[in-house]
Amino acid sequence: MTVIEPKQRKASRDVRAEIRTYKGTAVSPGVAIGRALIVEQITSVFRVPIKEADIPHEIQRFEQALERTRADLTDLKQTVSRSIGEEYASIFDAHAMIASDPAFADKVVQKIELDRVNAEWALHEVQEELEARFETFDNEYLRDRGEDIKDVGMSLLNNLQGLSRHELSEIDHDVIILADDLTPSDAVHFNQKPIVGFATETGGRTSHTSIIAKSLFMPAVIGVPRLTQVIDNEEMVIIDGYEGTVVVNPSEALIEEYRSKVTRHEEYEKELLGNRDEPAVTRDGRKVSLQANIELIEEMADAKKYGAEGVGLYRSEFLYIATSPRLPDEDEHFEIYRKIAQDIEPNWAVIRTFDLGGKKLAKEVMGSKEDNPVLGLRALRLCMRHREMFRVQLRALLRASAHGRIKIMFPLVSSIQELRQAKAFVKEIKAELDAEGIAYNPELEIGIMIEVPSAAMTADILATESDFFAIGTNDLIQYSLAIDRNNELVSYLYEPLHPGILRLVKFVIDSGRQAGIPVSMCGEMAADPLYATILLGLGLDIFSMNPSSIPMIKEVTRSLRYRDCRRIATQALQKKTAQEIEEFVIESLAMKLPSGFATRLR
Amino acid sequence: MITKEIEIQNKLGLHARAAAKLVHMAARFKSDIKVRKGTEEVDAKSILGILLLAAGPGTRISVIANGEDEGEAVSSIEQLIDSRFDEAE
Repeated sequence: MTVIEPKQRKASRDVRAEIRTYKGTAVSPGVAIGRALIVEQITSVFRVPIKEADIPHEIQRFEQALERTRADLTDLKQTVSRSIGEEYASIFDAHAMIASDPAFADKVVQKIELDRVNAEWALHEVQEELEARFETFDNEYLRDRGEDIKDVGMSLLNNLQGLSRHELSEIDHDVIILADDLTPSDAVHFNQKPIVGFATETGGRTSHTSIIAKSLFMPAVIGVPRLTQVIDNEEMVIIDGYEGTVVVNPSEALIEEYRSKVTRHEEYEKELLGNRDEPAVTRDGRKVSLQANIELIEEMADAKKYGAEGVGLYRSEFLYIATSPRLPDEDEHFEIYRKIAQDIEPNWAVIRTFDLGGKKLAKEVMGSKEDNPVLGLRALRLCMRHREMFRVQLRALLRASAHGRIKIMFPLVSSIQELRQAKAFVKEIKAELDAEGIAYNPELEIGIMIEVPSAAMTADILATESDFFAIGTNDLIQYSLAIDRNNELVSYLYEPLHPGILRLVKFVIDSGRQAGIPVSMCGEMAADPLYATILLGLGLDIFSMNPSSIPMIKEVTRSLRYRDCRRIATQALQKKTAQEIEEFVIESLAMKLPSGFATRLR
Repeated sequence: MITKEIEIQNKLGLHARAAAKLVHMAARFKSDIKVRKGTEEVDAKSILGILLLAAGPGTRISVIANGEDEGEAVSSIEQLIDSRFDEAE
């Protein structure tokens, strides 16, 4: 990480005095206000021939850099160990050993002497040679250790060029770090004054950098296009880690508003968390279950904090995204499922098998391209086509079922034949495990996502062979209304309250009730007070959502009567348009919900 | 001189943190200690050497110690590898 001198970059600042807002993805909540500091990865190192007489001096420079790097790594290890945990810290121990290894340092010194080049170039060459050797390894995990060499090399280079992070502490105002991309070791450096938040152009929500930001309680936004080009050093910046926005050049009034946003948010959350240990039950005694949608194991802490009564949906494809481009092995699957089940005990966790679209997986694993991936080889179809991959996941799920309360859910089922085939495959794997003497839960429940219109319309048939249903609204709405919500030209037609959608949802819930199986919803609809009211009235049993939405939906549930919700739902089903339905529900609710909620309805 | 063949069992093999533990252990002994995989032989006290061995799970390596505490050195390293470097799997 290199800090670019502020002076180099502020030429155009005066002409851009207006407030600008940029949108990204929120990865760590909170608001941070400070002046922009752009950091860049070093990309170019130059070869500078040196005189023979200068060789000792060059070696001395390198040795000083080594010493500083070792000291930095020791500091870093202690900081990380205290603030995040031992397991993250031990990697820096290994880095310090690499920096101390004569096999590394001697090579650089030799190169300085023999080639008569500057220390930077000698280091660069040695690093390249080593990285090239790592790249030849067969074992993918070990091959990636070349990254460790790179990380150490970067620190050395920083110290050689005198651009040490120690200078950051000399800045006397709060700083927002802006970067193209950051490595986890960059992110942990940020746990110090004057850095209060950061934003990047790239990086995934599930990346280590995002996770570390969250555990450091540092507001962060990622995925802001061209960030480092559109903002200048020293500009005033607000990072809104709730909404995922970066505001540049805010007025004093706006800064004040953002300052109070933190207080407001904390008070609101505290107030809502007051119902954490209360049941989600209507005033006339109808009990429902509010559960969590989870993508990362780290989110289990939130699930517990917000009082989730189970994991209604674990999106297992995120496991693949974490190990990409390699597929997770059986033990990696198993370990995650066991952990989730253990964390949520005594409640249940529903694990959805790989729901990967053609787009995500096709290129990397399947090597194929489809014209219409949304209607193509994806989710359960893809798994059944590539059974060896599916076998790994199902074996792990079955094994984990002996260690905790888990259920299996298949995505994108469109007919009962598909369900039967998938269940037959599970049976085949059970026989395999029996033969190997490996334990699993013989009663393991298998349910399906209802997200294809044909599945919703045949829910009564599917209910005879499925242990539970989970309605996935996002896909159900897109497929039913033939609307791609990301297409700006038609996204106005994406209407969750379309009478056609409500009829499908009602039929699925009714079919589940008649067959005596629980029905849940794990789309965005379940987390919206307005929709939730209708769903309550339709008799939905389980609402699964982002953990942080649970307290609000619980408050809504606890302030309503089931009787009223049923009436609202019945009347809503008689309206002709989504808009009529929405207006009717808002009107009906305005009188029934506590005053604070009415303003949160659109 | 003592030579002992040992199989790497932990799931990730001799990755950075495991290699660091092995080097720490080797550094405690006065003996000269080498690790060999196939025809490649490296100094057990160099983390870079160990990492460059690229010893994944299931790899068989030989630990060769030569010096006054060679017996203890080999058995300590064997124990560390057999305990999967205290990793979960």
